[in-house]
Amino acid sequence: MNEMLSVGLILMAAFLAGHLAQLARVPEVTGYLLVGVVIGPAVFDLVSYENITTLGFLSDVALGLILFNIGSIFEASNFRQVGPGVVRVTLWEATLAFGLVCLVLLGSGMTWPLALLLSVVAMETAPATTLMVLNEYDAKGPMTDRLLALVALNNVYVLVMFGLVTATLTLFESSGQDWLSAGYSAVHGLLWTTVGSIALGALVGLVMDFWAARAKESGEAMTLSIGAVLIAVGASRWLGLSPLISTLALGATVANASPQGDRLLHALGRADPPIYAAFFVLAGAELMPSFVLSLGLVGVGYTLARTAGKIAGARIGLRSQDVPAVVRQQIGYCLISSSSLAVGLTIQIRSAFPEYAATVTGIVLASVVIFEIIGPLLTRRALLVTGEAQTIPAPLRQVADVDVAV
Amino acid sequence: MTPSQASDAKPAQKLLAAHAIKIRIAVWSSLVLTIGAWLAPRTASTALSAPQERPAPLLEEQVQLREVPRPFRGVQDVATRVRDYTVAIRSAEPPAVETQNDFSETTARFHAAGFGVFVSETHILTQALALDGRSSTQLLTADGQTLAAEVAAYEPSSGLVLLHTNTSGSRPVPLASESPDAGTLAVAVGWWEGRDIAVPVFITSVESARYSIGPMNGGVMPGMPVYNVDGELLALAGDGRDGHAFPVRDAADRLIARASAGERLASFGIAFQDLAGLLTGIFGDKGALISDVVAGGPADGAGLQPGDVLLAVGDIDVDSAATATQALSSVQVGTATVLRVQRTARVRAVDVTPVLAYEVAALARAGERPSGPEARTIFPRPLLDRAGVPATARVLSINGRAVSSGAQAQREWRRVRRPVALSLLHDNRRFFAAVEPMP
Repeated sequence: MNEMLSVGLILMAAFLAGHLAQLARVPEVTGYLLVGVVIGPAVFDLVSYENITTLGFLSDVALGLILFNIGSIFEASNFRQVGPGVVRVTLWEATLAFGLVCLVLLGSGMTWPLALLLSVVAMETAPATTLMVLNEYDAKGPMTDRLLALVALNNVYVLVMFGLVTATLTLFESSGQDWLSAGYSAVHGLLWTTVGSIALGALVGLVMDFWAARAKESGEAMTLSIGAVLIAVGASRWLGLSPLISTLALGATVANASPQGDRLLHALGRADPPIYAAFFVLAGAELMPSFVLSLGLVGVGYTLARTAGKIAGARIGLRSQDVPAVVRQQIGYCLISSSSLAVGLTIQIRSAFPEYAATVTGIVLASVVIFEIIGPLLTRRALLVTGEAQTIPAPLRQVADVDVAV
Repeated sequence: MTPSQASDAKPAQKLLAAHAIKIRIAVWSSLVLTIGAWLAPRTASTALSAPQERPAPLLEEQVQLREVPRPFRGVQDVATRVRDYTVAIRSAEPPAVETQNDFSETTARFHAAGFGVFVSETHILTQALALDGRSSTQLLTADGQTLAAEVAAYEPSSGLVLLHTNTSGSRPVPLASESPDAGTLAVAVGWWEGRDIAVPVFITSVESARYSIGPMNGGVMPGMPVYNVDGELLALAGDGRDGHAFPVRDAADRLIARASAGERLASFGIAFQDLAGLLTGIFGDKGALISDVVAGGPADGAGLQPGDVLLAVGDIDVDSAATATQALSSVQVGTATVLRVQRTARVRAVDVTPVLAYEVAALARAGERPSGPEARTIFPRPLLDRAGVPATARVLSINGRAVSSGAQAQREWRRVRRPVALSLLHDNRRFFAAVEPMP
C-alpha cells in the first residue's frame, strides 16, 4: 500500500475509532491504539511494516508537537506554584518504580547490569498518552495541574538516569586505556543529551519568539509553530541530541519568553488532531499483542513492580502537600502508561549493550502493550473519580484547545 | 516574586521577557551547542546518543521483514548489510594435545578455512573445500556464536555442501531472483575478527551451473558468498583461486530437498571408462575399466587399482562406465558391497564399503598425483593422434609398468610388439588409451 493511501486509511480508522471509543466509554487514545493494532502488521497488515517505517516521521512530528505543548507547563508563574511539589512526586514515583523493579529483577536471579537497565526503562511514563487523555476529558483541577509537569519532569529524569546507568555500566565493563575514553564519551553523552538539548530548544524558542510578533493571523502562528517544532526535532536528530528534551525546552522557552506564547501554542490546536490521531494509530500498529504471551514470570514481576512503584511513589510524594486526599490516591494511576520513550531506550540498550538486548526487548515490548492499553483506561478512571473530567468528549475536536482564548 | 504576584502576572511580565535576558540565553545556548559538538568524542561509538522515540526499528526482527533494496553505497556497505548471514568455517579442529613452548607465542586461534551462508534458519550452504572432508565442523556466526554443524547434503558437480545445525543462527539470506549478466559488479563477502571483508569482483561469464568471476586477487576464499550490489546472494565462490562461483538459488532448494529426503551421496572413489577399440583386446570386452582410484578412498583401501575391470556390483552386471556408476550410486553410505573385479585373467570378489561422496572428493583433492614424462616426448605424433592421446598428457605406465622418466619409457616402448595400454594423466583426469606400434 502506498503511503498516501495508508495515511488516509489511518485517519479514517482513527475517526471510526474515536466514535467507537465514545460508545464503549473508553478514552479515544485506547480506540486509536486498538484500531492501530487491527490495521497494523499484527492483524490485517493493511498498514505494513514498510508503511510504518516510512511514516515514522509523522510520529516524530506528533511527538514533537505534544512535547512542545507539555513544555509550556513550565511557564514560570504557573510552575512556581506546583513546581517544587511536582519535582518531589516525580523523584518519588520514578525512583520507587526503579527500586522495586530492580529488587524484583535481582530477586529473580537477573544480573545487576540487566536489572539496572530494565529498571530505568520502568521509570518512564508516556507523555503523549497522558496529555491526550487529559485533553479529551478537558480535565481541570489540582491533579491535572500537576500531571503534565509530572510526566515532563519524569521523562527528563529518566533520560538523566539512563545516562548515569549506561555511563556506570560502560565504565565497569571497560578497562585500561578504554576507561578514559569510555568515561569521557559517557559523560559527554549525558551532558550533551541534557544540556545540549535544552540549549537547542532555547535557541529555537528565541528565534520563534523573535518572529512571533510578526505572525498576526492564527494561520501564520500555526505555520511558525510547526516550523519551529520541526526544526527542533530535525536539528536534534542531526546533532545527536534528544528531540524529547529539546521540544520540551522549546515549549518552555516560548511560554516564558514570548507574550504571544499562548497564541502560538493554541494556534497548533487546529493542526494537531489529525497528526495526533495518526500518531496513536501508528503507535498501535507497532504494538504486537502476541509479545504479551512471551512475557514470562519475570515480565509479570516487572509489570507489577513498576505499577506498584508508580502508584505508591506518587502517593508518598504527595503526602504532605496541600491536595485533596482523592488526588493523592489517584494520581499514581495516571502514570502507568508507557510507550515511546521506553521503546526508544530499549533501542539504545540494544546498540550499547547487545548482550542484554534480547531480554530487555522481550520484557519491555510486552509490557508496553499492557501499559499502553491499560494506562489510558486508568487515567480516565482517575479523572472521573477525582471529578476533574469536565466534558464528555467529541472525537477529534480541538484536542489541544484546553482553554480557548477570548 | 511571590506566588500570588506570579498568578497575576501579565503576558508582558514573562520570566524571560527582557531583551537582555533573551540575548544572554541565545549566546549561552549557542556556546553550549558549539562547544558540546566540538568536544564530542571522535569515535562514533558513544554509549549514549539521543534516544529514538520510535519503536519501529525494534519490530524489524519481530515482524517478518521484507528486504527493501537500498541504493548501492559501496562494497563495504554491502558487506556490512549481509554480514549476519555469513558464517566462518573453522579451518581445523582444536589440537588434541595442548603444547607450550619458550620460543614463540602459542596461539590456539580459530582460523577460517572458508565461509558459508544461511539459506534457511538451520541450513548453511558452503563449499566442500572449506570443510576439507570433515563431516562435522564448527561455525562462527557474525554475532560471536559457535555452532556445531553437520554435512546434510553434497553436490559433486558444484562442490556445494549443505550443513545442518540444530540452533538457528540467522534469518535466511535474501537470494537474487534473476541470474546476473556477464559484466555485473558483485561483491564476495566475509568477515574476520569483527572486520568485514569485501572483495569486489565481476561476473565474467554466466552458465547455468557456474559463473566465472574475476579478477581473482587472492581475497576470495572457498565458499565466500557473492552478492549483487543490492545485497542479494548470487553465488558461492568455488575454491577461491580458479575463478568459479556456483549459483545458489536453485542449488539451495535442491540440496535442502535432498537433505530432508535423507539422501546422502555415497562414493567408492572409483572412476570408470568404457572398454572400446583396442582396449577390448587388452582388457576384454566385458565390464567397465577402472581408470582411476582415489588414494585413501574405499576402493583404494580394498586394493582396487586402475586397470582393473569391474564386472558386477552385487548382483548387477556392469557393461559400461555409465552402468557402473549407476549401479554404485544405488548403494547407501556404510553398506558393504561385493564388487566383482577382473585383474589380468583372474576374477575376484572384493568387499567395499562406500563413504560420503564429499569426503572422497576431499581425498581426491588432497591426494598427490603420480607424474611421468609427457606423451609427445615418447611417441611419434601420428601415433598419438591415432590413439586419441593428447600430446601433453603424462604417461604413468606402459603395459602395466610404471614409468618415471622419458628414457625408461622409451625402453619400455621399444619392447612392445602388440597393442598395449597406457595409463595417462591429463587435466587431472586419469585414463587409459591403447597404442599399437607402427609397422
